[in-house]
Amino acid sequence: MREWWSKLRAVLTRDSLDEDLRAEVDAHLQMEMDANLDRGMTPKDALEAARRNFGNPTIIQESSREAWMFHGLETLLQDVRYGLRILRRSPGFALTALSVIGLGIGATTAAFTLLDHVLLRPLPFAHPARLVTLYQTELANGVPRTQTSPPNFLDWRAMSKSFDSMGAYISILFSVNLSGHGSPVRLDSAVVNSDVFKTLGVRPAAGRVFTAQDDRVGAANVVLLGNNLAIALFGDTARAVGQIVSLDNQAHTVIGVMPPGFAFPSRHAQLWVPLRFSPALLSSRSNHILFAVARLRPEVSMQQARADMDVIAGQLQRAYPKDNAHSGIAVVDLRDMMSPQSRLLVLAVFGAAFCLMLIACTNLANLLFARARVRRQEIAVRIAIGAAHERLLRQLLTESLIVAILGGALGLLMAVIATPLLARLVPAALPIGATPEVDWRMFGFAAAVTLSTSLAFGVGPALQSCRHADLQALRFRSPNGGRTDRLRAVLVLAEVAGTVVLLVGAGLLVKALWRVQAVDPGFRTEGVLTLRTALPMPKYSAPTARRDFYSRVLTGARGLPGVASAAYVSYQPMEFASGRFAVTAPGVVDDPLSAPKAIIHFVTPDFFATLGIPLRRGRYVSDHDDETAPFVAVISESLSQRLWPGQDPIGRRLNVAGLDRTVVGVAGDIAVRRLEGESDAQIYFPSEQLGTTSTYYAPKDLVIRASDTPLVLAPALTKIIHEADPEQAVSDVRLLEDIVASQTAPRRDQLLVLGIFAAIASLLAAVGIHGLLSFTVLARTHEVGVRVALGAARSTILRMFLRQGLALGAAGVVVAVPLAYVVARGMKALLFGVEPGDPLIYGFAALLAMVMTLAGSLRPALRASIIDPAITIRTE
Amino acid sequence: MSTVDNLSDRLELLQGTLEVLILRSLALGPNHAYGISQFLRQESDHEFLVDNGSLYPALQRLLQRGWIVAQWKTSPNARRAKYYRLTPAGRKQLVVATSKWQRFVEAMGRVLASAR
Repeated sequence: MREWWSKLRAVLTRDSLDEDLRAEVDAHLQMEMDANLDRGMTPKDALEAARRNFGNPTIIQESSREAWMFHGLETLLQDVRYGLRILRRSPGFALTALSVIGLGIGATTAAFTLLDHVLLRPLPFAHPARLVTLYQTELANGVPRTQTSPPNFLDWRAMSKSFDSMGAYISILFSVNLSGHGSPVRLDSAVVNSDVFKTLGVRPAAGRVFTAQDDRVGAANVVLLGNNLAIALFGDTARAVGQIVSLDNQAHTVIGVMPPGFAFPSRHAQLWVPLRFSPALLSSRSNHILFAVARLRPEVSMQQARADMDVIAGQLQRAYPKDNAHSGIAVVDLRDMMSPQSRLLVLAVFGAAFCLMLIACTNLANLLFARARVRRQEIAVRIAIGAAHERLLRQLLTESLIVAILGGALGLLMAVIATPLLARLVPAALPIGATPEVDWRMFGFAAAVTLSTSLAFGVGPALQSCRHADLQALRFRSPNGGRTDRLRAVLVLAEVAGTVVLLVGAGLLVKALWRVQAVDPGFRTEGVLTLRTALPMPKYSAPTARRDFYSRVLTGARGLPGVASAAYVSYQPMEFASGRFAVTAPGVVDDPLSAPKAIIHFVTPDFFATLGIPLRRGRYVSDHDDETAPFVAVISESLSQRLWPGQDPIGRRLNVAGLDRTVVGVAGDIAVRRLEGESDAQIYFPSEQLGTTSTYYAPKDLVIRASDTPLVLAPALTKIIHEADPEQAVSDVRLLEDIVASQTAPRRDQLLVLGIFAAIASLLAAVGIHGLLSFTVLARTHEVGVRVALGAARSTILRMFLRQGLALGAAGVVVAVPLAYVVARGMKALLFGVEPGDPLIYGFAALLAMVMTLAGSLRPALRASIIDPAITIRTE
Repeated sequence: MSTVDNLSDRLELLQGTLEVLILRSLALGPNHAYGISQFLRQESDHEFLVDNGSLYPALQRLLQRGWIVAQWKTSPNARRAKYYRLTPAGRKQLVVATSKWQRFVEAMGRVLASAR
């Protein structure tokens, strides 16, 4: 230790030590010269004799210096140079090792980055651990989380004692038209009250957030802008404050700009407007539109808060049995806003990446193991000619470190590249940004694993052989693999097994995707163009104004070439569904709590023809169903069966959302919210019979069926709309096909990621098998030579090695199948009903793994089959 | 490297022995490198060849092990010189090394005597 310190000091003070040594040598020479002078020499002779006697001062200085230094630094550089040279000399090994490490580290780092971003990192709010969301529950109807009504929310806030503050926001974002600065843009806006900001504890980047003043009905129109939006519009956050922007043609004052990355309630929100409880909103406890976010008091635990809210839920049930008879209150950690599926997905990706890293490490171990064995000969030679063991060990360590560090750098690069891909898997339902940052902790972990793998398998075996001064290795290649070969075989087997597990996982997801894509939405998507003309109110509050607008636009559209039909609908399927309303029918279902729920649409008559929704009974809505005609409804097949099973529903009466209607027709069911999961029942009303219903439900989405390439119609349609109303904004021009396809986009993203992992794993497994067999062939060259000399056919040799490879692959598959089944059952929630034990998928995965095995085995086996006995036997 | 004329007649020092000899020379009192080499030559009756190329590194090693310390002083004939001095640890090491060396010499002598 002491020696080490004095060396360290020497390194740090090297210059002064050099100086010191030079002075000492000078003094020495002087003294020798003095002695010579005493003996009577001339000064010149005395100096020469002293110099001669002293020896070469430079060499002496150098050798002294060597004693001070960690000889280390210089030797290290030498080792690094040598290590790099060795790697260059075997590019096959270098390339394989580096890519194996890079892939392993890259995948794991990227996946952990995602995991950390979504599940681990604290949410970007003050004291995020105390933030909760409050949901209403309807457990009796199988609904664990739903929105609550404004009156219920106010009661929760007034009665609860567990929270510092409680804010409310409308559960969905609204698409609004922002104009007044450049061309109009369509943006998602959140409707929140001032307590949301207080609860989250966020400060604006400029200006102010909402205050209680802004929550009051009749207060001035104000808006908060997202950071990016403010910069895009005004170039600067501070300059945005005080500006007037027009939202759906209503002037709003920008009072503040949110900080970058603020993403509440979801990252799609770009601006925020105040939630104001109008008398209309407060009139009904059945209007379920709100979610609540609250901050627990520091001394209150989650359990206590839940108990508190359970009591309140009980009181509200008794006080308002009509609406709240089955309503409970769920208190949920803010991070659990995302669905269990999203969580499962992130865990699955991480599991897959971890699996990949294990495969990569196994592969690396195998590679290094083989290499260490091959280098035994070189090491034995170097020991024989006098290399110090310590020195050899250092050099092997250096080589392993070079591989690990270069591989780690490659892995980090891959992680950075892969992160945007993984970012697609970040659930939109979480109040966090879309793109995670690469996490250094995980990189450190992955690097440590790789490093220890390369040390354990690269240096260990080589060290062993050099400790035993394995002189045998000098004489001939030791052919008996013995124990180490069995270990390597087990490693390869594990690789194949891991690959099969990943392939099964990816395969099941493929099948689930196919299934979802094969779901019949109940309407025909091809050739349908949709666009939105968000009708500004009160301009279009009068039914006549709307009727006029619809008829001008629809007549114009029908006149375009190739257009088969055109219609207006309140909200097109998949895009946005209305609230779910209880449907009661006199004499059949009178209690709204046990009544079936339906989604309502207001449509113009051609809606059914445009979307190809079949008529089962009665008639569609028609042009005659105007305000003066009897109020009618067309219901979906499933609702008909639910309310009047086995009977004719035509002419029956029903009541939904306060509307009393007579059933005139039954249409086929359609998927209204999503392809996955059971769809709600539907009720269609004629557009002209909106009656007292909020103009919120006034049709605003135009749907057109055209012969082909309907997108080319967009400019002509815009022209027609502007002829009807020059100020009307047109937005969301899309193909219905794309809207439906976007339903499966998250699944395709999941699949892409898992598929890439599985592909990499297969490749690594093939590399592993190739490496193992190549080595075996090398080790058995002599034996094969003898066999051939004794008359063994080439094909026999080929088969012998192929069989060895395939046996390993098969063993891996056998091990993997139960493992894969366990994993598949864990991800059942993602499988959309595909059996976790689907035999076809397992068959495919096994087949693919065997093909990779065969591919890996072929080259070494072929090489073995062309061994020339004359040469191999002579080498001994 | 040394300039001593009849090299073959002199005894070359075995590795490690030089360090013991340096410790021994310093047991008499602090000395400089030149002094140490003079002392060793005289004490061994000019039998030992002390090469400066070995002496200086040996001194550095002893310094690092903490057996000796160095200090610049003025010599009796008014020259600045770096004086080396034994530390207590160095003194202990000298005792250990001396007894080890004596055992080695005795054993060596016994074996060689029996061989004759």
